[in-house]
Amino acid sequence: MLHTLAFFAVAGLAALAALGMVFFKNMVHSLLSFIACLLSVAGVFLTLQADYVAAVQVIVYAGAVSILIALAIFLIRKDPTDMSSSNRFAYSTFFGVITALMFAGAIFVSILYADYVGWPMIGQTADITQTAYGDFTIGYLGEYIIAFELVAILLLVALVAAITISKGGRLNG
Amino acid sequence: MANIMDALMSLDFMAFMSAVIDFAFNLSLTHYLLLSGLLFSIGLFGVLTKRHLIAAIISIELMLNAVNINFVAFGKYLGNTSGEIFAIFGIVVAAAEVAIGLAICLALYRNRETIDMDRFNVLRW
Repeated sequence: MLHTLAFFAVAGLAALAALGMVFFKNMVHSLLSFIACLLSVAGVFLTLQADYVAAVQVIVYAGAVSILIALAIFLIRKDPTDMSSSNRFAYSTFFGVITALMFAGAIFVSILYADYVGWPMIGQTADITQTAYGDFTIGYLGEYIIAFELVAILLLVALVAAITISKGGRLNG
Repeated sequence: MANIMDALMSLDFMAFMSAVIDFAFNLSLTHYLLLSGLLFSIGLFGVLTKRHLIAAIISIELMLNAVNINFVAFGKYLGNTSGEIFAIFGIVVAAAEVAIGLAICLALYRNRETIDMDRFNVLRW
């Protein structure tokens, strides 16, 4: 019961913050709303007993990524005279609304009609009182070791590429 | 949770109300999927309609977050930790993506003096 209440609280916060992110006219307000949405999604992970993912969400998203986006907003001055209307809608708003509504309708109807046959935990709530860090680490260093190493290489390549691109595309300039 | 839609289609008010009460009190996989679909749709709306390039990038981040909610929820209701492992991979890929995306933003701004999405039409024929 309390669990359901907690889920509805964080889910409502996440949805409200996401709507604010889209509809705020000021880009900085939009970014702050985005950070609120990320923290609420970390709360959603907590209601799923996924503590480690919630911690990574707070550290990587709400910490690092949001600061990166804030610095990019500060470095780019779209309209120096008027920050308060820096995040307007484009010309394609009508088609964007239509497409998003059609997508949402299709996905909601398919979720509500879905039939989960042969899923072991499906009748229960997600209230599994123990977290399984042992399985977690065994998964990283066993079954998914190649993906783990590939992600490390991906991060290195992305780091070098970000530096190169933001320097202007010249390696020795 | 198919009984909400069934009750709605068969116009059975009592069945619909009991399905709604069941939805409000018993947390299930459907709740997480609906939240994820909602966040994904809002992110899609932002990508398609915003004019500021960074607004489009953070909308894409929102869509990746929705996918992570799906990963963790499916993993939890399947009863193993593979969902959480792939959610971590998704977060890492999203972090790399946002670093590259913002670097491209800065390079574009330096070359074109604007980041208005409506004015990036160099590929127009």
